[in-house]
Amino acid sequence: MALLAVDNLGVRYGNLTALDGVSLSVAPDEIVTVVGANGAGKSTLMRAVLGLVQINSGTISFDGQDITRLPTFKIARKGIALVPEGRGPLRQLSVRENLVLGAFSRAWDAATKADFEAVLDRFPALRPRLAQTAGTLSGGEQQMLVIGRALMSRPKLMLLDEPSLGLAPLIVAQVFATIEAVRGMGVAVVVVEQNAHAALKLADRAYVIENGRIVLEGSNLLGDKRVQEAYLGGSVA
Amino acid sequence: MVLLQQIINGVMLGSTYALVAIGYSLIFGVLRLLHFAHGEVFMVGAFIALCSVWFLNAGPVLAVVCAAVGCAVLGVVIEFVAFRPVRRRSGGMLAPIVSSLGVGLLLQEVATNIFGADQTRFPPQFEATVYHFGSLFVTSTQLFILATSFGLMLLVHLFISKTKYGLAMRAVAENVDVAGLLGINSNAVVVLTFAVASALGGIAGVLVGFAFSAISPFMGISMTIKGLVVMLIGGLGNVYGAMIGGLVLGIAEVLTVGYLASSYRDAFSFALLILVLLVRPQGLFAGGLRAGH
Amino acid sequence: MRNVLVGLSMLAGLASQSLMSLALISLALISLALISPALADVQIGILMPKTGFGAGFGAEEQGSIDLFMSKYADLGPAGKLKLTIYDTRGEPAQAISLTRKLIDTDNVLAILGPYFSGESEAAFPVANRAATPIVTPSSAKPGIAAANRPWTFRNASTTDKTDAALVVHWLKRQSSPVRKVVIFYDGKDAVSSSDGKAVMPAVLKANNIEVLDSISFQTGDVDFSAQVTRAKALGADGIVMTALFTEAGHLTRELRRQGMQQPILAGVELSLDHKFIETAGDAAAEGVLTGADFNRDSPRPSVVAFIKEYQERVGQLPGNSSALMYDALFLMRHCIMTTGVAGSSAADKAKIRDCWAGLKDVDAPIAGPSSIDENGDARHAPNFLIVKSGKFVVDR
Repeated sequence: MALLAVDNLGVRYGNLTALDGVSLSVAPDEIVTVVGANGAGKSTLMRAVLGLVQINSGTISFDGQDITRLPTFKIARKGIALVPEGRGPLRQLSVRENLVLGAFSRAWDAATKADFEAVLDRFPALRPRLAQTAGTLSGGEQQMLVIGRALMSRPKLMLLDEPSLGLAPLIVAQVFATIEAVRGMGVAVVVVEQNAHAALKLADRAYVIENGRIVLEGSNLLGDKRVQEAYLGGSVA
Repeated sequence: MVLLQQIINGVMLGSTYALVAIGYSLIFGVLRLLHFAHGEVFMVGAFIALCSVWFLNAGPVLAVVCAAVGCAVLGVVIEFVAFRPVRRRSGGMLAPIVSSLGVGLLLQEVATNIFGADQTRFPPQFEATVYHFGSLFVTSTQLFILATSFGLMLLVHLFISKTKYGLAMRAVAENVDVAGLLGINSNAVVVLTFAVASALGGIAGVLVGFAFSAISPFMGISMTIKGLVVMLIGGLGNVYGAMIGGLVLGIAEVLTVGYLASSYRDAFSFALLILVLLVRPQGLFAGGLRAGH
Repeated sequence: MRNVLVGLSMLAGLASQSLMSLALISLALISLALISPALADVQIGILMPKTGFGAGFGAEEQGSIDLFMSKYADLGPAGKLKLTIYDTRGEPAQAISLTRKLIDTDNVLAILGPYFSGESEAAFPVANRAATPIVTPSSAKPGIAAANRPWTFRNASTTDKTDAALVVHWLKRQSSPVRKVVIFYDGKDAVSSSDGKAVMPAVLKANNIEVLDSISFQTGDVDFSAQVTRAKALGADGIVMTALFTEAGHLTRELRRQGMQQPILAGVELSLDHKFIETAGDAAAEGVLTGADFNRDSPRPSVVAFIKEYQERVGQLPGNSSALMYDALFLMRHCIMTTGVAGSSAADKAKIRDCWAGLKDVDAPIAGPSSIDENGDARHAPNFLIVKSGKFVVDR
């Protein structure tokens, strides 16, 4: 059974149709990527799953439960963590406070403390900066912090919206390695990326979204001619 | 010595401004909305304390506790009646301003009808003992006010910097969406914010009632304005700014009255505000519910 | 016989006709009687602070209005006295627009009010231009009526008339001489401000008293610590305050709290309100001397009766404002009755104006013989009152 099942989802912003009949599913332990051009509806899809935009039609279920119109905090508490695009960390809070808030819906017990240490072990750059406000971190460190914060909630599913945006290539590689590692912890992952090549390489399965519609779905889209032409500059690098 | 006594006078006045302004700042910090009935919550706090003294024979501490609890409840009611409905309809800045002004007027009218328009006061057993040190003097009431207000400021600091719900409050203040993603129920946090802010406002009302033995349905009007001035001086939505700003305003007012004339008092406060905004448009402390790093 | 019958029936017809017309006439008379008092009712407008910071004064006035109307609403041939009461909130701007409304919309014969000197200063020119008599029962700042002749009057003594006697009395009763004083005045209240800045200093100077400093505060202030700390360093041996009762109470309390035990003289703005003593506390208020139109301890039978009836009706003791309003109503009714006005025509208004302008030794129930001088101001002998054990008592 799918962990996340999006069925025939429609989202409109006023007259503008952002998502139109989008269906998507994610199995446990799976890495799924959604590729598409800027404005194709990728971020809207992520935000819709978390209840951050108003859904006009269709259903979303998670772990067998309907979550279509639940408030964001309830969806999050069911075990979905979103690493949002851009302003992810709470910039005015310290690094430590961001991580502590990641575990907001858990008790601060031995297991949580162990997770806290594990996050710092995974992202050693954060440890000396625990008392700094998150806004003073570099872009890469902020991305690490937000992923770490997402892990603090022990999610079943992690959604990452453009995790490589604006990051140096070396850092991007690190981010993708982290995504692999996250899946290794038993967490299903959905990655939305303009950096289609890296994302497709990483993913078990992929969806291509155009103008708010899913136009392609498959497990080996890296080799797909249409994808190569539209998103990978016409040839495989 | 006169100057020192005047500064003591100013700190007394300023510490009550600070408590009101902290509440203002919490609410502005979390909601980005001005709560124009906050001065009236302050007024209601004084009356609740007065009733607890009348009917429960309460001492100062119990009176403060009664006011804090009563005003916390009142604050939550105001959130549900005056803010949440217009926030849901996303009425912009104007709708909450108007609805909170309305609640303020309502509270004033109700208080006038119950307690009358005249000033009233705590009974004589709350009369302060005066301690003279040379030409300086300080009263037991003043010591109680100082202890209570600075104690509360410390508690507020610990709450927003060390507790889970304090962190959640700051998270909602900074970014409601991100707070939701972390599993924080922002509506619950807003309710909590109103409760905490209103409790502080109510306690400030009791302290002012103790200090100046004057409780009236109109005592909140100037507090609403002063709280706003303090918040702007201290930095919008910054709790520490509100603390410092309150003391600065209190001392400035007392020195203006003591060395210039009472008619300049409000003018001087606003001059101070304009000066601060010219030099540091963000206020003495930058905005946001910071934990003071 | 037949003729007799015809004649009888004719008589009967005549009788029934005359009965009919009698009935018609009496019907007409009855309906006239029903309508005519309404036509003849005399409309008086009242301006007073029912809400806002002066609401306490308004309540005192209202008590007297209720009592007065229960006794004297009937004007005899002129019908009934009708009052239109508006709330000025103690604000001069409201006083102006409500004065206009009373004159233009409600078509009143005359106006009683407003309460505060600041309001009267604003409203008097309006009534004066509209040629409508206006009488404040309370405003005490000198010159307000004088500046708006001939339509404005007041039934209160002005501070310049009372201060001279009050200061002399105060100085005389001190055991150790007072030579240097500090004046505290309310800079926001019109009468307190003029009294504290101009009237009192002139009177004190005339008595060779040095004024070390004049320190202001604002109506509504509750924190007087800064003012008192400032005064404490000056070494005065007497304190003069011109303030409304609430602010005077807080000031007195703070003076004593900071250890200033000098004798205190409070101007007539205090309005003899017992709440002054409540606010200051019995101990702090002890020995404060003030002046007032109303002497609650007066043995005059009409005063005793007024206090008794007021207390029965309102459930509280009347204050200075109650007394002033009661007398003002009495004198207004006196003018209506003696001039025989029946409406609000220009001629009627002129009659009322002339009556007020010529008032001489009319026996008002509280103040006794009342007269109006060439400035439109009342002349009352001030009563000196001193606080003893939490009460105002006459000081002789």
